Amino acid sequence: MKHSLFRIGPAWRAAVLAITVFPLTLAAQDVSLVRNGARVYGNMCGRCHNPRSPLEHTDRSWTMIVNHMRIRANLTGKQVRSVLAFLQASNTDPGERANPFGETPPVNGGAAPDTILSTDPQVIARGRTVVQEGACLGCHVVQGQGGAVGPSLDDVIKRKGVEFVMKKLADPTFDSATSMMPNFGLTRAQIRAVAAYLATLNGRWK
Amino acid sequence: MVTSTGNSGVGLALLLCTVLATGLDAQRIIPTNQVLITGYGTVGYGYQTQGENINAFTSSMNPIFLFQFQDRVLFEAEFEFALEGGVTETGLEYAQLDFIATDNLTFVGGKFLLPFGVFGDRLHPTWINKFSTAPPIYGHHVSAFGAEPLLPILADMGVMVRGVANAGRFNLGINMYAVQGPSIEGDPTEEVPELEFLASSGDGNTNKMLGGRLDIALPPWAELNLSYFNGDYDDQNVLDFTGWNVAGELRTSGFELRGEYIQTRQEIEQPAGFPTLVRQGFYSQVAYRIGAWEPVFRWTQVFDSKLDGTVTDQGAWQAGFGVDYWFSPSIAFMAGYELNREDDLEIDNDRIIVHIAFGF
Repeated sequence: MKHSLFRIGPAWRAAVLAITVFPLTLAAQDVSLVRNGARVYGNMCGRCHNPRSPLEHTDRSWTMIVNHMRIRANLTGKQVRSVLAFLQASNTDPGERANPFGETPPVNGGAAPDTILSTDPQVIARGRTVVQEGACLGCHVVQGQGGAVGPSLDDVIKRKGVEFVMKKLADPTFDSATSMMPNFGLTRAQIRAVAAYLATLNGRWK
Repeated sequence: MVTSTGNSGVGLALLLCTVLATGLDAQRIIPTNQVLITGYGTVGYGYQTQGENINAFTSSMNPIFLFQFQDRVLFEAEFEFALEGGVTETGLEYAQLDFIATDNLTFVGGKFLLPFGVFGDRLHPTWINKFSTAPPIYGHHVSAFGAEPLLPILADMGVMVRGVANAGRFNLGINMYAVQGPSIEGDPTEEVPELEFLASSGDGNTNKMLGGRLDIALPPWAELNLSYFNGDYDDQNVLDFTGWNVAGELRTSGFELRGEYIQTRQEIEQPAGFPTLVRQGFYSQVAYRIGAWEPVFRWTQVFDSKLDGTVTDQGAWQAGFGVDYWFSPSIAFMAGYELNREDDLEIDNDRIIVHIAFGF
């Protein structure tokens, strides 16, 4: 006899569906919260001072600092929670961080990979997933979506070149000590995938 | 002049906010119960050729203590330790208790920086202020400016309500406070009494100074802030002191333009009546980030002081040229050159101030 979801009772079907969908929904909320937090952090904190690197403080310290700044910068509770989610998701040393995409990041976190762009559709699709599901859209616009804290990524390969983009992904402070972009600990494969995806946006490698 | 009706109005507003806060179900944030020390420090050097002889190194430290109880109560205090003439000066910039009532409402009590303009409560830390000195419309530390500052950085004892809201892409904020207010410094029989804004546990009269600020922000591009306060400064609750401030900011990638305009109106007691001394001025500052470098230019002007239209004090202006080098987001070397001029005097109070500011 074949066993399938459609042969069990409605209650079990609902339960299985809920167990499957709930983590996905939660993950989507987390991504959305972190992405929104990145946008609020750049927009609201950057009005008065350089946004500081998330690596400067622990989760607990950020909780107090964000509450302190809530009074100064007129942040709502919702904004505070999203900023905290962003800072606490980004303040782990890249070498020690559990990679959200299930891979082991490079130990030094800063070595740039080679600069040969892949045209493999699977690699490009993977890069798109990293951009869409990471916090990139909190600060950058990609195809009309995203925040305005950082520059648009649509033509970043054309403007800055492949090598710059890959170095920036590997070590966001390599070109500017005051960069607020966190080091997300992307693997070399992910960096190559993101660059390959971004290269398709300006049409040069379509 | 503030009347008892005005005080009652603030009381009613505070009561209304309390009722609203009690009725609203705020979402809780991560609960904690802990202590954190943060703050900033500055080491620098100043040189002035004429006027007051300045040729000295400086050093100061401003630790900020944060104590949080669970998720709704935060006590925060900033101290300042600075060397002045071989003596260590200490000061309490603020010591306030914040009660986070809801996502949108916070009550503040104690000594706090007044939300009057934006320099005082947001920009005055040395690592945040992009020029190596404060705008001279605010009296903060040593100034070589030719005219008296319009106001000090205001901090006072009292209570405050802060409300915030999101409206589409706009962030709105409103602050209302009641504090002790100014009092007369020195001889009260002087023709134009000097005022002091020292926060103290006592009050020079039974009147409280009332004020507030409205913030309209379109982050990250622009912000507009409108501030106002009013209170009596004499012990008879007769003489009125009023302040207005309009502040604004425009930002694009790497470029920042900000400015503030202040006007103060002080009633004076004279046999013929109560004429008003009007003082006003502004500063405007532009900065542009080029990699780790950030050139800064600041223009400050204080206009002639007028008592019922008659000039009592000449105005002055300052042009400030500076350049910052950022080692990290909160550590910078700042070099500034000030051209200080009074309108009717040939006095050269130019000076150079360099320092390293460290936010930690």
